[in-house]
Amino acid sequence: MVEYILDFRWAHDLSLSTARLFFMAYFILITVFGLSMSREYVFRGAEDRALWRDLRLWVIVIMTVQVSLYLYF
Amino acid sequence: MQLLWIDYLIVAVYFVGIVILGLYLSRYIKESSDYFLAGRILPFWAIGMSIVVSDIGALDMLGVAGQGYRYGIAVANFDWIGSFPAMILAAFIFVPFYWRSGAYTIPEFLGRRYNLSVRTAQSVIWILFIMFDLGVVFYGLGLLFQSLMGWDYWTAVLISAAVIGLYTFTGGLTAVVLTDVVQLVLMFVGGFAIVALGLWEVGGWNALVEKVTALGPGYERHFDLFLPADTATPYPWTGILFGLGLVMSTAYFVGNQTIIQRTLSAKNEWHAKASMLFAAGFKAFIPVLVVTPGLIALALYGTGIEDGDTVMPMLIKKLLPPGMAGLMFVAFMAAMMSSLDSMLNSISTLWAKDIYQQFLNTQASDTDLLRVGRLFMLTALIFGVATSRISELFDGMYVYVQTLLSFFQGPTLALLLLGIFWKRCTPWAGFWGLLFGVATAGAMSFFADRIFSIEDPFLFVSFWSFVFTLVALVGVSYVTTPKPDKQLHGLVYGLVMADSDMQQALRERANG
Repeated sequence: MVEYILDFRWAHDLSLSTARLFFMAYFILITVFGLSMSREYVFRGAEDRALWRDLRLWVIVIMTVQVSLYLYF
Repeated sequence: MQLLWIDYLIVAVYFVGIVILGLYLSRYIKESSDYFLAGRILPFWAIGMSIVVSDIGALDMLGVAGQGYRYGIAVANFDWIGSFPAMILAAFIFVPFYWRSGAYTIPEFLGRRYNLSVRTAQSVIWILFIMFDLGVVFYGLGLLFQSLMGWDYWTAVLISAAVIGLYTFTGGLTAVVLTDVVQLVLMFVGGFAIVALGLWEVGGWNALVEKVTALGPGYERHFDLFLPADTATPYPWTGILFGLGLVMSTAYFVGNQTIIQRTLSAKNEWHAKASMLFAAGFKAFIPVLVVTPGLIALALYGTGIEDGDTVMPMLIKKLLPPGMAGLMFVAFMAAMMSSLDSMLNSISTLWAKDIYQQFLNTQASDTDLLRVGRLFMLTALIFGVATSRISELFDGMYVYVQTLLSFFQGPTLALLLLGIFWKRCTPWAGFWGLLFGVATAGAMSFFADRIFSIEDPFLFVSFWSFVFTLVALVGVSYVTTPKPDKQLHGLVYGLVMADSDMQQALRERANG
């Protein structure tokens, strides 16, 4: 029983397509987390409020690259 | 390898340029915060580039290429899922907390949140780890240039130690970060040259895929990021998602002193956050530089290479035309130096702030801290050079030390996470949780053959040690006394948001 849990043997029967779904769910969760940051928090300390300084846009770019890589490979 | 005058010229220009830059920046060192945290004036792009280059050393360039040769593109997970999500979490949750707290080190932050025992335990672990690591990196540097360039071992080690020592001693973190920027550019130029020439030789990306997958059944998954949960390799998707993605990478980017120290040098809170996200952008390209050469070697040489670490030197000798050796030399040198200078700067900060100021001279002035930090940096440098050859005698020592450090990653993440988000988490829960987490990680590694079915199950060990530490932290917290709220202001999420005065102070601080 201990090995079954610690060694993730419950996952041995899952397909790689299911694994990909887990990964995508994680990426979406992280993206939503990044986008949920308030405007005030994201710009705190910034010299100005130019669009490129909106760190939520940076999150979108980074996670788009991430999702694309994990869909392609 | 045949060296031409142009190779020597490139190397000489690099050394002289780096030293001049470091010496020039020394004029800005007036007090300890200038030395340890670059006076908190650095912009996001410099910090971001420094984070990337400090993370990737020449040993990684060799080792990961070897892993790519053996296991394929699954190794790229360490730079993709092993970086992007963790860096976003670090940017929006942890880095702002550290930056606002005014701490110099992660142990210092943990000490304020928990107690001096936790701080000291963390500092000692990091100092010992970096001391050992210095010797190993210098050893790798000596061997690399011996085999690639035919240099004498001690000549290579002593020249590089002198250069690194000079600019790190005089210029502090400012010199480290700005030389890292130059070094990142050189690493990328050298790395992309190898990949471009390699792909040209193979016939392009499609030809590479065709040739590698045609090698047999063992190679048909060499271009898959997802390996089955019951794979015999160390990289099943379960380990990658739970061990690497959730725990190890997050622990690395939120709890590693050499990484976090850079973000603390940001000129304001926005730059601190942005530096992490900027670094994540560069991390996307790292597997192209370090994993692709392993696949190219597989296509060019087949499956007969026993030691994967020799793949990169073989490609350099085969692919680079005369005159480009100097460029590659500089790329490797840059990778080595950027790792070494980061370690030296971090270890001097840990010693001065967490050991010297806490135990040896509690009344230390700012000048004392600056002097002691610099002296300890020199001591560590000399120790690293002097012990570099010891790695040759104890082959397993580096792996042993690395394994020991990995025992602390899951527990440290649990301490940081609950420390920031749960004010009920008590100081003694932090101490006993850390010990319990490390002990369970050690026990799981010791009985790995009985528990785990995969080769080298460090990803699973990290995940479960994190889970067990969380349980211990909660359990011990309910039977011990928490800190009063007023001692946790600025250190715990809920209390920062609840205190309007604190919010005002933080806003002023965030605006520089």
